[in-house]
Amino acid sequence: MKKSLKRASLLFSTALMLGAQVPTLVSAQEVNPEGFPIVDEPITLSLLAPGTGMAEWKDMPTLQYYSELTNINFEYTTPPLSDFSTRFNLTFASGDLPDIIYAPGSDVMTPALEVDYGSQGLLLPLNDLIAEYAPNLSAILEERPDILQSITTTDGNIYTLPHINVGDTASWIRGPIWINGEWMEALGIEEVPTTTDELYEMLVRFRDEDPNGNGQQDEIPLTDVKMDSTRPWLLSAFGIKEWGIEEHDGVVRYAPMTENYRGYLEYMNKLYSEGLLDKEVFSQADEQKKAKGQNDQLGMFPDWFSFFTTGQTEEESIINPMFGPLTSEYSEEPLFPMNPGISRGAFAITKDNPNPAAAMRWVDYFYSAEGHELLNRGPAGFLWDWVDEEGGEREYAQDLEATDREEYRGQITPGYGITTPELSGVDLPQIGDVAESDFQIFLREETEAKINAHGEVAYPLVYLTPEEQAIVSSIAVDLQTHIRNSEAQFITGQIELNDENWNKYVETIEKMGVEEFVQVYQAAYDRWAAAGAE
Amino acid sequence: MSSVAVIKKSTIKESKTDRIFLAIIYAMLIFALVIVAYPLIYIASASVSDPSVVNSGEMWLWPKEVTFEGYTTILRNKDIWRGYINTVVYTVVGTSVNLFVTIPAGYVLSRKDFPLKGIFTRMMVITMFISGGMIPSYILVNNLGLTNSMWALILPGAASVYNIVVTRTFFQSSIPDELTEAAIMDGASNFKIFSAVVLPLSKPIVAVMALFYGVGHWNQYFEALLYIDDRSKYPLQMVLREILVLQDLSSNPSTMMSEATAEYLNQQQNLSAIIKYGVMIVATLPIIMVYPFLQKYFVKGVMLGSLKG
Repeated sequence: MKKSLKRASLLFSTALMLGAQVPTLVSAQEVNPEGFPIVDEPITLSLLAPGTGMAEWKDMPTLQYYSELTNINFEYTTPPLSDFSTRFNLTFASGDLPDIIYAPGSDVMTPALEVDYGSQGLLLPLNDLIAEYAPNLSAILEERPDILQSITTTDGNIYTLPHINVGDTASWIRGPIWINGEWMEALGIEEVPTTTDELYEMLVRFRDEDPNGNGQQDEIPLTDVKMDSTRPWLLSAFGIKEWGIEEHDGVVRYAPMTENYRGYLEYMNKLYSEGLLDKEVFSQADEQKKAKGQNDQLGMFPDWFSFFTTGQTEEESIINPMFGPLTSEYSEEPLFPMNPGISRGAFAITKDNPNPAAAMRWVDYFYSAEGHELLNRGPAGFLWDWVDEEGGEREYAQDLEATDREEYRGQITPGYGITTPELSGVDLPQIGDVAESDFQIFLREETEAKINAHGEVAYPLVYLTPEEQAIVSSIAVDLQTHIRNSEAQFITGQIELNDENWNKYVETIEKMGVEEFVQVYQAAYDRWAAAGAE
Repeated sequence: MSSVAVIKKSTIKESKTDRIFLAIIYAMLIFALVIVAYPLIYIASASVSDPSVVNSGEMWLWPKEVTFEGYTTILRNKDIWRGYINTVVYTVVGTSVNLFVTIPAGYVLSRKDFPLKGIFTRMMVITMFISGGMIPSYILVNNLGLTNSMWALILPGAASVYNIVVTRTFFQSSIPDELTEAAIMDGASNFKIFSAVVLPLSKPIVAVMALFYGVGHWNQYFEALLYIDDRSKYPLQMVLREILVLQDLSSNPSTMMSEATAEYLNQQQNLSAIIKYGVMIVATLPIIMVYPFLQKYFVKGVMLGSLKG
């Protein structure tokens, strides 16, 4: 009792301090309400961001250009992406905070950490700053209330800004499954399968009829690395949107204990035992999968783009269609999981920031089409140049191959390889004569037809209260380990999938406290939905 | 050499059990050799083979589809070479500082006539069990203003208590007191004794310490991750880690990412597939090359330190 009182008073005093601090800071600094420069007197802020190692941030033309435009300079600290979380956590633990945290991504700046650091007063609440200094973002939030619902924490504050994607691949939850188009052609298969039975038949034909034409039976009809990339797509054939917590018509359930999930396990066990699913699926690494793809041994495989695995060019890979939603006895209607298109934890302002208003205006630019173009392509004179600035005609500044162009992009702008705060995927002005590559058109059409047409978001992005977080964190790990191990055992047949074993499996899940787990997420969902109804 | 010859000439036949014993010993040695040599040969072969045959398991011992693309890519990679130079500098400077601190400390603590020996030893040993931990260390280094400089990697670890204890034991066990007494009789000062009498007799321990510390500096990456922000100051291990760790991340991870991230990861993966084994060779070669020259000291020094102590 005493302890909690103490904690409450501590919280209260931090809240007071914050309340006292923020307005004075904002008013003490000169910020131009609109237009450039943002501040008349140049200021320098410190910024922490994950680096991709392509170039030093201080040497990037995009940032140099934008600094000149805004009068805001930065001291960049960019530890490598691979070890970013270590540095990030250390920064908070030592109290040596940068002014801005840029593009940490929600892997590192998890929703739980946002709530934690936010309630401690280490991160500034951004609500008022957004309303006052972020016209572009405000306009988006007005138009898309679901985004506002998903970035507002349980205490009503917004602590991080999102990466918003409206591009062609925005609805992907992860890389799709691709079907080997050359094999389909070789066997005269014209349509991608639409039922689980059709899929089975196609995989059998891939196995038996030597589609790669080398006279050997070395074909692997379906592969993955530990099921993680194929599972979400295949689960949907059994009416499941997510391998865990999901929502159907307002009711939240834990999918891996449903009869539908048993149907999935039975189906996958059949594929595995008949050699249709790669025998090495639970043991191989990504590089082995890619090696098989380059040997033309794979019929169906997941990857972001199919040419990552097959080693084809972008153009050649158009032949490989995207795997679409299936129907089965468990799911009469085609269904695919879909991404809400936002990624949280892309930008935060800390309590040490001397000029939060300027920082907010600085980042808001990237939520406009113009700002997105700057972040994506850099200023004129590097990747591209004006042919006719008045008429808006552009050309590529250097004769670079497409792949080198990507690499060059990584050297001139931070908008490469990390989750930047921006509105991405909006149509950019054309450069040169090429309007849109065939590959882009192919991607968009496949995504439209297969994902967007049947897509549903499994469970919205929500925040949990610290108490709720404490409940689920302990349960989540146990559950995850249990269902992961069991899935492998059921699919490989190490444990036979009969009533007895299935009941034992479900019982174990129940003993782990799944009921409470689901309740927490039901409550969080209800809150989220209620916020939208307001 | 002569003793070998004598054994050969001997007319006494080895008994049957002796021969069986020898055969077993040889079998075990060969087994151990294979276990140790196989990964080395594999890495060497893989570094000059095409990544696709390596990953598909077709290459399992000798190089296949030989390509030097990996090495040419490494040669052209500016980051790796800059890291290499940094690491050499950090290792040489760092090891010098380490030796400068460790050897005298070990010597002083070994002298029976040093009055505060016990207290100092205890104070040092306590730090082996209770250390500040990562966050206080970070704050300390930060407040000392060492961040982003080579000294952040060298000064905090300048003295390793473990190594000081090993050094002290060496001095205690291999430098007889009579020697220092004799030097004192001849009128040598303490500094003179240390530099003219003790040091020349202590080459093994100096070599061993140089190797211990040197390898430590060579492999150091975590401190660099914490304290070095400037990419131009990254040591080699940091550069390698950046390249190699990313290949563990699949180009299709579980969390949402943008198209750009996918392409970046895929590109890094392809790059690391090509250079992975090559950089392992390049990064460890200097250490492997130093070993044979220091080995005689190494065995002797560690044995002296540990057994007689």
